[in-house]
Amino acid sequence: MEFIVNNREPVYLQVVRHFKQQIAKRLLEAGQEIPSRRELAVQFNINPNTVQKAYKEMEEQGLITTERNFPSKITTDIKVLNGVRNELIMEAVNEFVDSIKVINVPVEELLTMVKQNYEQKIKEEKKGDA
Amino acid sequence: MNRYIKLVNFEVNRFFKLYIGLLIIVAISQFVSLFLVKSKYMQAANDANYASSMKATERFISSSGLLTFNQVANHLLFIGPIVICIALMMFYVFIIWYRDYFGKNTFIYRLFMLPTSRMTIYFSKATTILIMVLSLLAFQLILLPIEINVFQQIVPSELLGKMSTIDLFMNSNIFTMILPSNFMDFIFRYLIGMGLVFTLFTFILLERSYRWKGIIFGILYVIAIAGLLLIPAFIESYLFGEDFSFYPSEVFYMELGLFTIIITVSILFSKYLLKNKVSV
Amino acid sequence: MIQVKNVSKKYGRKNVLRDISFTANKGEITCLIGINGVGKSTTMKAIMGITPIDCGEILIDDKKMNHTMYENITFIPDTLTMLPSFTVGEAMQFMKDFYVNWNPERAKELLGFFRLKEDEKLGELSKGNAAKANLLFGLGLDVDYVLMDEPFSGIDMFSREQIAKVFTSHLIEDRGVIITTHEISDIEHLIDKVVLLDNGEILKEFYTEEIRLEEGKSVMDVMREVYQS
Repeated sequence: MEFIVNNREPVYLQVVRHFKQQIAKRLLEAGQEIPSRRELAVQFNINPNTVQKAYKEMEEQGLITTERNFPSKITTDIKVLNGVRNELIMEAVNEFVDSIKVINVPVEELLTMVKQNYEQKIKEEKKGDA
Repeated sequence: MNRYIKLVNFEVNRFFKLYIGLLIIVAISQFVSLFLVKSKYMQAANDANYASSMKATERFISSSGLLTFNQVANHLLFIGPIVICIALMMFYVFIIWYRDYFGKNTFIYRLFMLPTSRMTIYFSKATTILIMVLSLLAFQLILLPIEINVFQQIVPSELLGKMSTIDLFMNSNIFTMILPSNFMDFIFRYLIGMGLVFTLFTFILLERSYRWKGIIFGILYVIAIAGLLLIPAFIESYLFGEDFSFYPSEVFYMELGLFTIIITVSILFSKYLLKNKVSV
Repeated sequence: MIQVKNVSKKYGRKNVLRDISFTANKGEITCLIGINGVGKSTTMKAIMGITPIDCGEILIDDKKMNHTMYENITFIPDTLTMLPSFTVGEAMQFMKDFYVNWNPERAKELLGFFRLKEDEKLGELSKGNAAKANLLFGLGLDVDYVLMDEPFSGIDMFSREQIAKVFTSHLIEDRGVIITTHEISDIEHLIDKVVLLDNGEILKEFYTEEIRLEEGKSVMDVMREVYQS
């Protein structure tokens, strides 16, 4: 897992977001085991304390479950998992809408452009994979 | 105690190569002096044709005297290495501290971060000096009978003035200084030596604590110590009038007392400096 | 916890440390930042008790420094603390002889991690390898606190990366670490707490994640602000 750190944002929140992205992309399945605190620190090249904080935050948000002496696992709660997906979608949508609102574009025109752009990108990706 | 022994072992090992070098120099130089003295004497003897007749031999002996080992013991190449050893040891009193500060290594950090009292370090260095000095002395004492033996082999028996090691010590030569025949004198002399070492250590620690100011304090300290040792002489000359003088034994005990005070003060002062003032 | 309380020190006429106070906790990586000559090394040496201070006090786990604590706190300066004539192996043996808390297994692990050889003479090592050897002698001890003075300065990039890996590994875990540096750009993400020093004084003491959370600033941003005012 590539993890690039932004020094202006709490690193532990970046870790949490990374996991949410992985969940949304279905790269992390429900109930899947995640690396231990130490392993992740080495993988991501960050302070183990930060990983600890991130895991704690994820536990509080219900994203992961930890049983004593067992590695942590992604939650199996479908509501939470869907919630994550929706959260990330809404984040992107919010950002997009905030940046595009300044330019006065009618929504239908906007949606057409979005659809075109999106489909174009999917095509290019498929070409790239082939 | 354990770490003390390990430190002494460590310090001795550091000095070892130099030490062996010194032993070799002493041995070689003294053996050379042996042969030189014999050659010179034999040269004179042969010039005087001592072997031509009994009378000639007697005449030569009465004018030049028999050749004794004492003449070897007074030769430059015999005394020289001993003096070099003494000078080097005095130098080493300083080096044993300063070598840990300068050069490529800052080993002093490691020494001061050892989980042991700093006085252990202090005493291990002092002990090392003592061990070095005594073992050099021992080496000389082992060498001596060998040298005397060799000497007695190479000098023609009619010209040889036989001398045992003990006889040698009775004579006036370097051994009166480094090996006084009187046991009390011996202890006293080497005690003074150790006192000197402790005083110099204090001087070094003053410099390491206060740098330039420390050197000045150090010099004043050494002067004060010397002054203290001169108290009996002072009392003798000024306090009691011209006809008064102490018995040698009285002087001895006074000096011993002053000495103990000096050593104690130096050690305690060093302890204070090591604990509170010395920096790396 | 290491507590530095109102410590001042003069060196000749110069006020090297002026009434500085800060804490460093076990399990956290604290970084003292400042340009050269600002008092970072002096602070470290003062904590270790190898440089005397003029006033103030320094407590380690609520106790004053004494020589038995050297089994529990170690200092890794930017110079070699062993004889250059020693080999790596001999130096390790030295540590074993004098410290009860020397951990030979961990030392072996570090040897492999840093790719050092036991029979190499310390005086002949490159600067990067010498720094790693120094780290080995410090981290090979089972201590609660590790103080590192400029662990990255003047070292090639490859060695820097290796050394930085130490901070994310189990070798540091649960220990209290204080490091000093004047350059933080490539290790910012590893540090828990920052103490900014200038001219013998502490300008600011803060937790990196808190600043990021509350002000959206990186450590470099804060440094720019503080040092330019």
